[in-house]
Amino acid sequence: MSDRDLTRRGFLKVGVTATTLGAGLLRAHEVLAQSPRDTFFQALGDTLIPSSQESPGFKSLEPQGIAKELVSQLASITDEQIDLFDKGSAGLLGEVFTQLNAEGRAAYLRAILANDPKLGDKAQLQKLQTVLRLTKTRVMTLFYQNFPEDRVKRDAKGNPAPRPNDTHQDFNPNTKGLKTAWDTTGFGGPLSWEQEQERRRVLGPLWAEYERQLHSS
Amino acid sequence: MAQAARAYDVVIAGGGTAGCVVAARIAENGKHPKTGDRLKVAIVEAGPYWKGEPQFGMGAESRRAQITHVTIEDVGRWTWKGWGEATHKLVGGSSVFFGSNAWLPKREDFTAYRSATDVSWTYEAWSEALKDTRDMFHVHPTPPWAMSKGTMEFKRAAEALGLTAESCPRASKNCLYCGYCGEGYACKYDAKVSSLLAAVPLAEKNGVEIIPDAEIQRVIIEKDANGKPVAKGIEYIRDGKSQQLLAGATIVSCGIIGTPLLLFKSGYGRADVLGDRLVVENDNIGRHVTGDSSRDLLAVYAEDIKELQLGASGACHFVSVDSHPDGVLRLRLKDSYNNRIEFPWENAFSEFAPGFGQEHATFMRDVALTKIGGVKASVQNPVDVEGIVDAEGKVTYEGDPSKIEKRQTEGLEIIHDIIKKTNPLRISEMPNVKFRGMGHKMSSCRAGRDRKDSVVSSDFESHDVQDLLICDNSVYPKHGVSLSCGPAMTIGNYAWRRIVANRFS
Repeated sequence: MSDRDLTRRGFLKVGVTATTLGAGLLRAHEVLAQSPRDTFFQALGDTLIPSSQESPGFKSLEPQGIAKELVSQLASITDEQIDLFDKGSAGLLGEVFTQLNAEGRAAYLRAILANDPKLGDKAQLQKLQTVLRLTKTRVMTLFYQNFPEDRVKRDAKGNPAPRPNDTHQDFNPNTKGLKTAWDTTGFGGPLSWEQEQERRRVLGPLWAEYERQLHSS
Repeated sequence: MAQAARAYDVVIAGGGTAGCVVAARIAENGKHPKTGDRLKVAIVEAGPYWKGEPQFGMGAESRRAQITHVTIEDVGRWTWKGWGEATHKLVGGSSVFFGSNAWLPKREDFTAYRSATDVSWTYEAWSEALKDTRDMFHVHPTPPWAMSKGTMEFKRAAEALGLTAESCPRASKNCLYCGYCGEGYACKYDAKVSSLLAAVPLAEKNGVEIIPDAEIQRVIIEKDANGKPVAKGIEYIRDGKSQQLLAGATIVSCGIIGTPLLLFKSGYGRADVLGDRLVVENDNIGRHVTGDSSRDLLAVYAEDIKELQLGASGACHFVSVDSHPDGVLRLRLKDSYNNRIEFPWENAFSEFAPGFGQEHATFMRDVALTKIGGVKASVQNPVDVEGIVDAEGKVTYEGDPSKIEKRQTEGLEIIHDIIKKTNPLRISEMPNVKFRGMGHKMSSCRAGRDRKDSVVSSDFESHDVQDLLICDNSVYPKHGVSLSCGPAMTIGNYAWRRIVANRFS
């Protein structure tokens, strides 16, 4: 068999078909803010990754606790930093950040990233950028690691614990019940047992033929 | 309180990439010189032992459960960052986590080794060891059907510029191209051929005792009646208990940082590090560290250049560009158009990603995982700069990096030209190159003829301490054009021959 005879990758289309999920079943829930800190991070998270009909954003995962998780991961940002960031928009846009509408919040972030001198001197801009950078890093990481379907159950030693009756150690935490970041980006996570077997079925002969060529050359 | 010492013929301190190979081969081929009996060999390793019969492309049940590839938490559980850089502590060492490219020592490397320390090694003398490594780790060129559209475009563009693109060598078997590999990722399917899969079964078959989860405290160095230092074995802590393991030969195989650190802890090393703890001095321990220096350029495309959920680290092409007949300052230009799958939590921060908002979400949905690729330019076989390992394992550099920086810039200019020929929408900005340190480090306890510039002989025996040997990437006299696990796999296959010939035949 020549290299050209080896069909490449067509087989995998089956294994990597994007999951279609019942996204329409989900609604973005309004969660009552419990503190200025919660309100602030919810507003910033929603601005960084807005929710839409087609794809979930930060706000659509609030019922699953994404804002609470974010707040717990950003303990290093002080109340003073939050206050400074919140009030920083007032001079330019007339209202504090958390009181702005979606367009106003986005305009504020763009002004920070563009070093707009109307927001203050260099030191002030650096402070605003620090809060934005730290929050963005955590928001994006949390969201795109597939919150809340990003963890597997573990045993007492910290090793992943298979689901009941799972003899193949499938540990993909993503489900079809909730539309999350992996679903919208098309990232499938670890292969299922069926996907593994499909790849072995197609790749087995290719490997066998390649081994034969290696040994004969 | 220390438990009673046990006696072995050989103890290997460190069950990593090289340690497992040398242990397996000595146990297989060596015999006690007086009795002719099989040797009693032990490996002592700081990390866990993921036991299980290798099933290439399938995965052993015990390991599949451990290696889930779900989050960074999973892949990083055995990554020890205590030495300022990621190091893997487990039986099989970094080969369990490496990128699967196996760049074995080449002829020009031996010129570099000999010119550094006058070591006696030659390519011809190593040919059997190289063959053993290829067989043991199933080293092969990437199969053509595993190449992505992007890596084929890279090859076409490089060749249009008169360069020769080669298929990257990989150490894998029955790979499923799930894409969950690359540096820092173990393989759930036993497809990445590591020392854990290739050497440990051979070691166990030949009676090697593997002692995992044991933190080695020191090599026991005592002075004989003539005042000559002699290695007597090792001391380690396991389950909270201090234990001694005595041996006729002690082989240290803890890697380029771990080896000098263990020697420092044993009182063997540089006076500037050890002060009044100095037992045996050798000024070269932890010095002369060399490695490669890499920068990359990325590009974004209108069309898909890779496929979702499909890839394998290093299943791609590379180009070598020389300006010197012995490969000094060689440029290796390697594409990343097929370098494992792209993870959304990483690509969310791509330089091509809009900052936030709906535009960012659209980028993540339509571009991030399939339309970005690039090429890395690595300067190999460097000159004029060396690193020094301190008592905490941190490496600092001395020397003039200007030649490395100049060569790095040349490499980036070439890959910019190659990428331009692949019709991207945009290429990343050309960086202003400044030396940032070295990767794939080697040579912290190098082999050579004289103790003035080396630590061990060409036969891996310490110049200063009797019955103490070193076998890992630290003994290569210089970073040549091969790197990382390839040399580590190979040195075990060469060293055992010399050790058995000198001591156990």
